[in-house]
Amino acid sequence: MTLWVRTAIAASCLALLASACGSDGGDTSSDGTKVITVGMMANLTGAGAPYGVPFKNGLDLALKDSAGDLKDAADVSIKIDSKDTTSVEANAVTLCNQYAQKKYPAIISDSLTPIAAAVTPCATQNKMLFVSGSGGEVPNEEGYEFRLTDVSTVMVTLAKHIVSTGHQKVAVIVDRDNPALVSTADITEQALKDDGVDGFVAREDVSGTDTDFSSVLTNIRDADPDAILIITLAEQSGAIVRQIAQFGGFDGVLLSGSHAWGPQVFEVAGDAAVGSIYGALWSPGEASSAAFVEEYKKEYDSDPVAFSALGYETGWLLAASIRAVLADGGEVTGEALRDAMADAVDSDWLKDHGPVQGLHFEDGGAARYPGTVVEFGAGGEVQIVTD
Amino acid sequence: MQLLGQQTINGIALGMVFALFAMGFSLVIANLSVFHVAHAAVFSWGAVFAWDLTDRFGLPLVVALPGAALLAGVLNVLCYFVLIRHLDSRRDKELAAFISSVGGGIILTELISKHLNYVTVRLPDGLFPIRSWRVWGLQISSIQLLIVGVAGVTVVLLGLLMTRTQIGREVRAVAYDRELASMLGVGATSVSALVFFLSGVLAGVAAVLIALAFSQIDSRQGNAYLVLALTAMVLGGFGSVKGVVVGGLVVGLASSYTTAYLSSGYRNVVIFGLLMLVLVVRPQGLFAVPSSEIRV
Repeated sequence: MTLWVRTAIAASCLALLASACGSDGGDTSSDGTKVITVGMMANLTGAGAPYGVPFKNGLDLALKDSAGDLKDAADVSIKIDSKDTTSVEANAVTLCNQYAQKKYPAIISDSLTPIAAAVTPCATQNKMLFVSGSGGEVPNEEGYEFRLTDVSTVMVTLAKHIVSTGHQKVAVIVDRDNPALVSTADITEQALKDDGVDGFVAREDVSGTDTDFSSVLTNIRDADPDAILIITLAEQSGAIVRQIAQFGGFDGVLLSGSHAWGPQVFEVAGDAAVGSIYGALWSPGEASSAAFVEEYKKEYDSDPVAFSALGYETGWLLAASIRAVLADGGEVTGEALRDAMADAVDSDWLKDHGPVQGLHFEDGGAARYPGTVVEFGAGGEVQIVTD
Repeated sequence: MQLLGQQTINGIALGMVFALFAMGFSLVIANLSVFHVAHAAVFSWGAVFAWDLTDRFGLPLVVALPGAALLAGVLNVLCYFVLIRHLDSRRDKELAAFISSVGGGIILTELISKHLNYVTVRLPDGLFPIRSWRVWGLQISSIQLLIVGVAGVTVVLLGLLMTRTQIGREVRAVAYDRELASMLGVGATSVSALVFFLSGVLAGVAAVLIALAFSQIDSRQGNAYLVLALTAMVLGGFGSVKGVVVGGLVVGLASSYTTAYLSSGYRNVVIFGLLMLVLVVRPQGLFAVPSSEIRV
């Protein structure tokens, strides 16, 4: 083999190796604008789909809306590299590692605390900003993870509403497989105690895969509650509400649910859900969200839900943090984005466009903002029942 | 006492569904000695057929239930010819058929996922009137009555078919000695196909009842019932219709009582603890059937 052939082969191998290492998340588009690529582990199918699909819709809409402002302000655009996790933790971790190899500065996950818990070590190890729509606490010592679901405030609001409407004997059904939902139950029980109620009169743990709740409902009925709080994912909550109606013996009992509820509960339970209430992270009835709601309906021909709003908020948050980094003359790295999140939250962009008003992050990455309580009316329409 | 009575009603309704599922599985084992795990996927398909017939074609439950059961039966016959039949001549046919059934089950499950576009669906509202009655302080729902009624009638009909008809005698003859039955003029392949059909019908009936009661249809729901049905079968004794029914009821009641008096978190511990206990103390099951007199 001649020397030039060997050199050509070696050069090809090096080129292949270089391409296998991937990009650094920053390319240039045809019009010369720098493109920042962000990885997304989307729960588009499986248990997380009721949250993942609207979240992704909201995110995509925010990136579309913010594109012009971001180009004018920093001459960059954001591209999302999204893949379906099928709501499985192992798939999400695999994707995180792929995104790390591609040297993306940031990754996004729409919901599900178990996925956030599984991905945070990967994000931290690879110094990637990790914005998650989940709410459960996960170890986050280096502060790369920011989670947008504020379980605490909304459940305290819900507990106050339950007590203020004269309910004193609250029973709870909890998905024991989901740590975020277990801690939601604990938070709510403490809030009830703070409001003068002696905690839950009955607590029934179920598995996220359970489908028959007759035994659990028998135990609950035996405790003679005046309100039942259902803290499971939306579809399972809908099935429980439906079985409560089928089972009988719960006339006049207030049915309520956590932040994990949404329109899917009504889709599953039908009219059995009319009159039930839940703690909502966000509601389309909020005046500050009118523009977002209108645009979302136009884009997707459906009403936005709380996770659509969180997705939209995440999109603007990401755009604002990239702008903040570039405004300081820095390079868009995971570390720089993490440090810029405080400025991004306080930015005019988020105040003007973000549907979640009053958002701020505590140490450890937990979001805080006021929640609201909504009630299912006939046909599944929701109405705000708190101030 | 009232709690015990109510949990007993819950357990009986749940146990009857386990029994239906387990009986179909047991029929195949008794007839062919095949561990047909794709039965779980056939069960899931039964619920999907019911959803197609009611939600997409607008048929009432009285048509959809037998329709879905028949379609599940036909699907199981296809499983027999595609997954099991051609392995008959192999020396290790039981193992080969088991592996073939595992593969077939995976394919059928994935096909459901595609068919449902990876989402959970449910039977339409109003398909069956929802009522509940209070009798001696116990709440009984129309769904529970439907489950017990349909499952009870199905079990009785199956029992009559197996014990009082020529078809039943042929099925039992093949289960007893396949080669000898063939030499005496019984069409062993036709009988096996019939057994797979009946097994699929039972899975289909159970699946529709589950879908109606629990408002949930997805690709993997059969898997959760497979293990419980196996437990029911082992508890009751392989090959005994009566044993499988009793086994199903024991599993259903154990599930309800554990939730009532311990916690639902201990449910599987108690059920499988019971299974291990029976395997140690009475490995032939509660209703022992000598292998030489196996009944189906």
